[in-house]
Amino acid sequence: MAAIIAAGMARFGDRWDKDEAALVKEDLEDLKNVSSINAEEVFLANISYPLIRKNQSLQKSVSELTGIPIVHSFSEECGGSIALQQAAEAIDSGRIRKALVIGVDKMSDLTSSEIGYISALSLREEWQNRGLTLAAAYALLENLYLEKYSKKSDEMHALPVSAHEHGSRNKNAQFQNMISAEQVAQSALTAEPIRQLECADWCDGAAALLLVSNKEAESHDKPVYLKEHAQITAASALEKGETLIPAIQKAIGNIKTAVQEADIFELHDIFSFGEVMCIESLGCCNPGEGLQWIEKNKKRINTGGGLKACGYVPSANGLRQAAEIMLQLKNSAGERQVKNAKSGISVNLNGTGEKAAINVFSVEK
Amino acid sequence: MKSFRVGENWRNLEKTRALLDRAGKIVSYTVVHNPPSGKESPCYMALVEMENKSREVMEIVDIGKEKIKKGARIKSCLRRINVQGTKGLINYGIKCRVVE
Repeated sequence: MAAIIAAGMARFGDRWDKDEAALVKEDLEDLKNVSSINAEEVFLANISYPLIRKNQSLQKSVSELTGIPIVHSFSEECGGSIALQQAAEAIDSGRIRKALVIGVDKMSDLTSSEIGYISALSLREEWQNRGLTLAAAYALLENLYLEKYSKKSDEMHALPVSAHEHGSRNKNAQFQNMISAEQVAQSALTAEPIRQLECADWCDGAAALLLVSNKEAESHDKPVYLKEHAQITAASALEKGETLIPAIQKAIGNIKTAVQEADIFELHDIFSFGEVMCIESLGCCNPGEGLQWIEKNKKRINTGGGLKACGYVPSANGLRQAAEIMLQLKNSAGERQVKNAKSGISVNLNGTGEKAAINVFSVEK
Repeated sequence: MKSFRVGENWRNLEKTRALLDRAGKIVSYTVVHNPPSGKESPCYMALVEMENKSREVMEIVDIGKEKIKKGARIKSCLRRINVQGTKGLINYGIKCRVVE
C-alpha cells in the first residue's frame, strides 16, 4: 500500500501568465515547503498540451524541472486519478519507493467553441461527430432522471450553491464567491435544463502529490493511505438509457471497502447533476433519492468546492480531489475541516462516466 | 466542429448507410444553446431508441421546440454536418426528423 505524504497546488483559474511548466513549478515549490521531493519516477497527467500545441515536449520540460529522468505520461480526462493509481502500483510492486504524481492542464488557451467540441472527447465518437457536447449529454441524462423520478430541474439548484460555499473557504479554488439558488435559476440555459451556474468552468491549474511506500510513510507525520483503487471502462449511462453510471457500479464491485461509509466524498460534479448520478451509482441511497442524501450530507461532499467551484482542470481534478481528502484526513483543512474525518473516496470520470476512476483513502493502513 | 479526413469519411460510409432511414422514438431530448462551432444555436439533440432497441444520439431537424416531445416517433435522415476547408468539402451524416 502507498501513502500520500504531501500535496502541492497551483491555484485553479485563468492563469494567462503561466504555461504548463510554470504551473508545475508552482506545485513543486509548494511541495518543497513540506518535503524534499527526491522521487524516483514521475507520473504525469496532461491532455491540453498536445491538443493546443500539436507538440508533446511537456514530458521533457517536467523531467528538466524535477531532475527525474523517468516520466510516465497519462492523457485522458481522469488522467490524474489514473496516474495516482499507477504510481501506487509501481510502489506496491517494489520497483520504486517514492513517486511524484503531477496533473496539469491549461484549458484557457482553447476558444469556447473548441472547448464545446473537446469537452466531448470521451463520448462515443459517432455522437461527438454529430455535435453532441458534454453539456448536452448531461442534459439528456438529467431529463431522463427528472422524468423517471418526477423531479423538477430547480431542485438541482442547491448543488452549485453548496459547491460555491465550500469554494469560498478554499484559496486555490477558481470561484470563491457565494451564489444563491435564485442566481442559478436566472443564469443562462446551456443545454436545457442545465444552466450556466450548474456547469464547472474549464480553466488552468496543476496539482501534485508525493507518494511513498508504507514503510517510508511511518517516518512522516500523519500519512494518508491509498487503501484501494479501481478503474473501469464501460458502456455509458446514455448508451444504457439510464442514470446510474455502470463504470462506477462495476468499479466499487472491485473494492472491498464499503465506500458508502466514507467520511469525505469527492464527486465528479462537472455538471451539478453529475453529483447525484455519482452518489446514487455508489449505492449511498436508492436511485431517485440522491438529492435528499446530498442535502443531508453536504458538509462532507466536495469539501473544497468540487469541480464546480474549484474549476475543471481535467488532468489535475483527480489529484486535487486526493489533496483535499489528504487535508481533511490530516485534520489540516482549516475552516472547511470536517470533524473526525478518517476516510475518504474520490470519484473521477471521463465524459459522462465512459470510464470511472475511484480512489479510497484512509488514515489507517 | 472537427475537421474530417477523407479516409475517415470513406470508412464511416458503411456505418452511416446502416443507420439511414431507420425508425425510432425520442427517449430524452435537450435544447442546446451553445453548440460546437458549425452548428446554429439553438439546436436540438435527442437520445433515440431505434427499432432494434439500440440507442443513438442525433440532432433533430425540420422542427420547432413545441413539436418535440418524449415518445415522439422519428426517422433518421442524411443531412449536411458541416462544410470545411477552402474547397468546401461537405460532410454528410445522420440526423433525424419527427414523423408524427
